Amino acid sequence: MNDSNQIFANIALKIRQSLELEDILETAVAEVRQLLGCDRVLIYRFYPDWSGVVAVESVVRPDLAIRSHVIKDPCFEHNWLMPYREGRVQLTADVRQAGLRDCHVAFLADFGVRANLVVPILLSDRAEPLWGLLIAHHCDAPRDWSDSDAQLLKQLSNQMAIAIQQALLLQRTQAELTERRLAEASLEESEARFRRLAEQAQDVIYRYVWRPEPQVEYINPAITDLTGYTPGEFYADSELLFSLVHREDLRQFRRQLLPPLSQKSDDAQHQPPLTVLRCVHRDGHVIWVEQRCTALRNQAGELLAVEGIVRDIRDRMVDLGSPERPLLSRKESPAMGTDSPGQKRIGQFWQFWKGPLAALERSRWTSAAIMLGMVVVVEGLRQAGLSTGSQMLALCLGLTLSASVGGLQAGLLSTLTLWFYLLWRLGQDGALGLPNGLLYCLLYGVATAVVAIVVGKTKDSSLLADQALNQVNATLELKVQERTATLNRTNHQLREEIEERRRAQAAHQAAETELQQLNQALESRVFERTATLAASEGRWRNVIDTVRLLVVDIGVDGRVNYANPHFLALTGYESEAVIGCNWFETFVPRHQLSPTRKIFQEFLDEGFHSYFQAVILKASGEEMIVAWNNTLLKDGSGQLQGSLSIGEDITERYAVSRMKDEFISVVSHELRTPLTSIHGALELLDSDVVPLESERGRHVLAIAAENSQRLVRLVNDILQLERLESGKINLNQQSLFSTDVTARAQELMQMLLEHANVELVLEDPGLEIWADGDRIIQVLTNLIDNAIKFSETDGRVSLQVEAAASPTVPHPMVLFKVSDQGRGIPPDKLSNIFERFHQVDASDSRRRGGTGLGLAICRSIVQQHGGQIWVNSTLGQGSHFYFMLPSQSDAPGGLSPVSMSPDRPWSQR
Amino acid sequence: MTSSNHVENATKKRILIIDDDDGIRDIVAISLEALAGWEVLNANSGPAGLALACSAQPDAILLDVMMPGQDGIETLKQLQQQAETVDIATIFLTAKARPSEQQRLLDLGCVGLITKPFEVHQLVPQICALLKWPLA
Repeated sequence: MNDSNQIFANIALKIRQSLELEDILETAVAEVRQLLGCDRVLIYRFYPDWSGVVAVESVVRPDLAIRSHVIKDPCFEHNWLMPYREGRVQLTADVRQAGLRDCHVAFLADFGVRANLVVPILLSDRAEPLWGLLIAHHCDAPRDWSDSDAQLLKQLSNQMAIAIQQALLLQRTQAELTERRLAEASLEESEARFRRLAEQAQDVIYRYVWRPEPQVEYINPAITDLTGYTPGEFYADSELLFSLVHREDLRQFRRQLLPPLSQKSDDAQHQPPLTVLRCVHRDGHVIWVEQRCTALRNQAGELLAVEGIVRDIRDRMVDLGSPERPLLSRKESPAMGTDSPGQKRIGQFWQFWKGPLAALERSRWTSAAIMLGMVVVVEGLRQAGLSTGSQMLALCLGLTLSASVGGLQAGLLSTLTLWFYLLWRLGQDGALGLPNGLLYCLLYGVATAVVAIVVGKTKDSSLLADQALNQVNATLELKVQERTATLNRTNHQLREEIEERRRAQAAHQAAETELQQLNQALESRVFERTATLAASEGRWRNVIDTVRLLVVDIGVDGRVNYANPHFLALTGYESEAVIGCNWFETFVPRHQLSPTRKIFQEFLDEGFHSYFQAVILKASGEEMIVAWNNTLLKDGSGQLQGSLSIGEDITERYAVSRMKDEFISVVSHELRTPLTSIHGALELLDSDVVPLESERGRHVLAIAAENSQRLVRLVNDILQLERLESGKINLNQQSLFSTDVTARAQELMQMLLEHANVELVLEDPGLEIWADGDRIIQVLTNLIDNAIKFSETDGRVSLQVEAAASPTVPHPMVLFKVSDQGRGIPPDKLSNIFERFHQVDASDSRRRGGTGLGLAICRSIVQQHGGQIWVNSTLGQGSHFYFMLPSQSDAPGGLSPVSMSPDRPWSQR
Repeated sequence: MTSSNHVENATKKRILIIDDDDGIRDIVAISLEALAGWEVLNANSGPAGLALACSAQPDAILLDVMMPGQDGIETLKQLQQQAETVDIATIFLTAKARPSEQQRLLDLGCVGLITKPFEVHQLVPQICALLKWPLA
């Protein structure tokens, strides 16, 4: 069960390691098929019409493949899906025995299905959760699916569902990211279009933002033509815009630029008012402009910015003849007095029209003044006694003057008044011949008529003036309307642009919000993954910390970034001393520095030397040979970080290997030497270069025979040593008396002793030993043989046996001592005298028939008995070889010693 | 031994063999005398060989490498250091079979190597080839 949990966890991990839907499904089917050991595992994915396709599959052999098959079979009615919707699992051990409908059996037979296991894949985040089916097929034979199979598949389908949801979410996020990029692009394009438009416009367009800091956010280059200031100066100085406005218009301008801070969105839709302002050019002259401001608010109605369009209307002011109408409010009477050319022109224009306009405005008073003036003139003429004709002439002159100076209304009024005066005077003078009563009645009537006419005419004339003015006004209005329409169109266009921009911004915001949500979802997944990664990292770190290998991370600059505990333990350094230190200066022996640096650089540059052996220095100064396996370390962006080197301490192995090489070399020499003699001798004899019968022939034959014996001994010794050292020889240990082995050895060496004329002195009290008699006799004969070889004629060799104690063994031991009076062993040879082929003098040994392996064999036999062997020697005085054997078995209740019968067949050495 | 069946030399060559193995010394000596008619001197150690080389001035020396005490390598160095022996061509006689070992020996300045075990009939042609002596 634990195994299946483990397998499930592995598969689940693999499924979750990808966000690519294809990968997830591929991984899942392959793993599941392997796990269940079935013939085919597939994922069937539904289309919206409930037909479907074999989306992915894993098959045991190619002929079972049905990938990409679209399945739309009338046998499957819509309701066959119901159990799957409810999450049920369908197990069929044998489709032929399952009582399925014929069409279903035929359908399954088409795909070679004999047994199947079907599990739904349900996506929990959907209205229609059934996404597909995870199906395992067995094709060749029926199969009894176990509950654990079904359970496992169900769990996996859940895992897959989660992974699919995530993959789909990712796909959606990616699609939305693409959309967002498109929206941004269109926004940018729109912004660019707007900017182009604004940059080329004749009118000044600006945007003044109030948040976070009040400032000119944008103003187009047209402002330079209008005011002489560049846009840059406005950006630099937020107050410049206000300082440009004529101080009398400043309050109005401020009101426009700071409309109510908060306003309902409905109100914001109103067409903003057009106002006329004066602004002052950089060189001081005043410019008449009209401005329309639009407040930009956010959804809450809060003021964000004000956009203004300003148009230069100086020309229009000249055309219209009066700055007062209709664009100027009456209160805003222009205040002249500066001496700029434009202002002068406007001033002259104003002076010219000032009188008539005042007369128009105050015609009654003018008429009265002219009338009085004429009365005075006519009276003067009469007093001077001039004739009535002269008086009429003056009257006509006055009339003309009145008409020319006072205009139509003044002229008319003066005429009537003078006629009244003239009639009265003529009447007085009696020139008319009428009685005074009638005259006064007539005068009264005329006066009444005059008053009536004057009053009426005054009203009429005022009406006329008004009508004329109205006409002018209408013309002006028309022109203004035309201009305003043009302005409105431009404005409308700009507003549309702004609106479009606003919409794009809103879409952008909405997309951003959704992306943020997706982002959060992804982040939580990333967090989950990070946790998994952290756990995995922890596991790896644990592995690296405990592995019996040297692990170091060396940066490209040669600094050590990490060294594992095993590295520290082997090199004898503390972590603090290693981390951050320079690898080459600390660990590479001086004589290796240059080649090692070169190798490291070539590894970083070319990837060479992934494997190489190098010597490194321990803290103690000792050298250690390490076999390194190097991997280039790169960060997420592929940037080279250094080398991760995993090494193994092969110092010992290297030494062993060298020893082995040396041994083979020596063996090779030791075998080839006798072989050369044998081969050469036989060749000489065989080719008759040396006749066999001759004395030389016999000598050559003897060489061959002697060397072949030597070869046989050598081969035997090598084989025996090999078998001893590899434990292939089992000791036949039993309880014996020491005399059993010493006596036998003496007996075996007797002939040699006599031949060499050397005496053997044996001192053996007969102690109990626990030993393989044959092997110990071999040790003794070897040692005695050596002693004889290095003894002079008439020399003496002794063999002594005594009880002893070993500091390492609890029970009594028996000590054997073989001594000679030979030339002794030099101290520098003593340490490895028991090694193979380490004779003191090989030629001596060889001359005496030794193989160079005798002492190595002795040591091996003694050690296998649980004993020890050693040597003492004094140059020129002789050598003492000692070995110690246990007196009894380590096992409790050891047997009593067995007395060896004399006829026991001891094997020859 | 009389002159050889294979080689006839105008002047009789004198060869010194230095080897600690009695059998090999004898076999080489018999072969060279019998097959080439050369005079063979022999020594069983490096120091003995050096002394003989100085005194007898052989035409060539066959020198065993692995000898107890002073080995063949040390002996060659000494031969090269002595004015009397520096010009004597030396051939190593060796049981070392590995190419790396053989190369190391050749680098020491000998004229060549003859590896053990050798064919006695090839011994004279091998020596002549290494020393560029004419082979009749």
